[in-house]
Amino acid sequence: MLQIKSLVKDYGEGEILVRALDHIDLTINEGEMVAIIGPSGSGKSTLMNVLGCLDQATEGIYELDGVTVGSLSEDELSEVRNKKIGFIFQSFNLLAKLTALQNVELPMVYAEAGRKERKEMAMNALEKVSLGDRHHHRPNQLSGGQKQRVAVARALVNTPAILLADEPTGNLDSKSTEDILRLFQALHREGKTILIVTHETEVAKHCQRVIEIRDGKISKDYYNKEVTQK
Amino acid sequence: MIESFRIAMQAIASNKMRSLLTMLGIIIGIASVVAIVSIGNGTQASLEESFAELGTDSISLQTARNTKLSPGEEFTMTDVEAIADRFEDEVTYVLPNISGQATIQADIDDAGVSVNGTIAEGDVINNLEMVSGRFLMDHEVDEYRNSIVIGDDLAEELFGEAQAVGETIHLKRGNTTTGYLVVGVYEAQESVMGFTGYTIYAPYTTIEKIMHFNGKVPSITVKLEQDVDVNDFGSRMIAFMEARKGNVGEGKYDTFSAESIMEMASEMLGLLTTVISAIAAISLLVGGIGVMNIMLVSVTERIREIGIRKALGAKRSAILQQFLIEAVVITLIGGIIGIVLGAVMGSVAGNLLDMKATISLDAVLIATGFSMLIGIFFGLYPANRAAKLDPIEALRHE
Repeated sequence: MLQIKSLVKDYGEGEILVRALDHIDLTINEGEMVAIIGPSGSGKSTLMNVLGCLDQATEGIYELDGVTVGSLSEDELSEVRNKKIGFIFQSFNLLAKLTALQNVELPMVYAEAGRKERKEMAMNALEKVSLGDRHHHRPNQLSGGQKQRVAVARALVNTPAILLADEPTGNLDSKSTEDILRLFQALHREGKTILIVTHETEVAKHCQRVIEIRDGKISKDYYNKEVTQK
Repeated sequence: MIESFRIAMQAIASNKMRSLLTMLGIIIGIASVVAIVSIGNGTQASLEESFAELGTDSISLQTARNTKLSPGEEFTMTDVEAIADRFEDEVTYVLPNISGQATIQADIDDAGVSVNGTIAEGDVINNLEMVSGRFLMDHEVDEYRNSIVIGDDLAEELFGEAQAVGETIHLKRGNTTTGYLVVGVYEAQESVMGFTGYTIYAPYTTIEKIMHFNGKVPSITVKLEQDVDVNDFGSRMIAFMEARKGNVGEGKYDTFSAESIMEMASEMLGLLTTVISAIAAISLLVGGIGVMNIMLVSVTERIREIGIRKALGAKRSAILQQFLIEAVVITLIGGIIGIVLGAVMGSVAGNLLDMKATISLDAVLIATGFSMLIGIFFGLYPANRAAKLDPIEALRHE
């Protein structure tokens, strides 16, 4: 599903060169729910950006769902983000002026889906996160947990190959955190591939596999015994 | 495309005040250009109408400016007849222009009048509409009668409501005062230039005798048949006269026609309209810069939104389109409001100036196209800046 080989990401040049990712090898299989943990500055955000096709690696190979990402143009990367990746952000990143439904429709707008199909799929996605009755609400009329669920619906709407969540519970209270994690687990059971970047050990405990990054390298990669395999 | 349009409308609607102020520059620019062009068109039309009344199919032969003619080179009645013979098929009338100033012996303002010598067909030549009585008759011309035709403005001044026909008017020229019988009253037209004095028509034979022109004719007016080219006829008439007087190529004669004045006047008017429009167009430029400014603000405000859209799969072209359409929609709405406002301003000004302001479809289309062009031109830079944003940076933006 997702494979990287000897991935390097450098920032800057010459003496101020910073190696954020240092020859990382990683394979994530379909249906896995993986937590990427590590202290700040460890390179986990950089890894997330590269995996999310928001940024390109300096060296190494990245294959996502059969596509070699390294050689793609900016517009092709946009297309990969649109079709294969579903983003969930710490700060939700919903557009304030659009309703929940319109926010969920957005990825389909850029996939150039028809208007009717768009509405239908977006509605389905919202119902999946149990917010069907809130579809006409704007983000400022929703609670933090609801906003993040709208964001999950938006990430799901184009049926991507992988869900990428960057500190998804960072801005949520414990109750909402619980809700979101349960939602992720439900999606995991359905066979979705999910990657969660987090620094909360509580969140990592809910994941089947945990990868720890330190100084741009993978320092640990283990499976949680408690979390049942699919 | 439709989606970008909806996004643009949403963005404009959510910042109504700002959008309106931005549009204002475009509105003022387009409105003034449209108003000026429509007033210019209206003036042109009324100018043409006035000159058409003067008769665009007549042309006068006269002495060129700053030229002194020797006695043999001056026009005479024989020349008038010669022109009538030579160009028989092309001319309707050939008329010696004999006229002079005289003073009415009555207690009125503007007692000075110009007396035009003419023939029995003078009403047709001068496009005169008779109000009462009749125009001059052939025998009055042949017999040097003291018959005159006056304008209704003068008739009212002298006789008020009373019938002018049959009355006698005394005209003084030099030391001589002569009585003239009013045989008709014509409808005096308001001149393009405002009041230019009263005009009286009398047989040219009478004028010639009384005003002592001694058979000399200052200039000759020719009314042409239809389909005769005025300018072409003019040069042939000059050539004919030069051949007669034996001064070929010396350029001592000149022609003068309503058409040539009209061409000159409308050329001047066109130039004037263009210059004023160009000045008004500067405000369009200023408006365009305002649009660019506000679009840059809009992009800066929405950096995070752009980041989100890019993360969700928006390509560069999609972002570019979104902001470009926003700029074009702003200028286009401004342009349409401007056209309406300009048309209203034009017609109000037209009413005040007592002429019909005409707004042409061309002007509307050009104004619309031009405002769109401004939107594209001044929107391109901000939109391109938005499209080029790095998604990671944009997402991090607070």
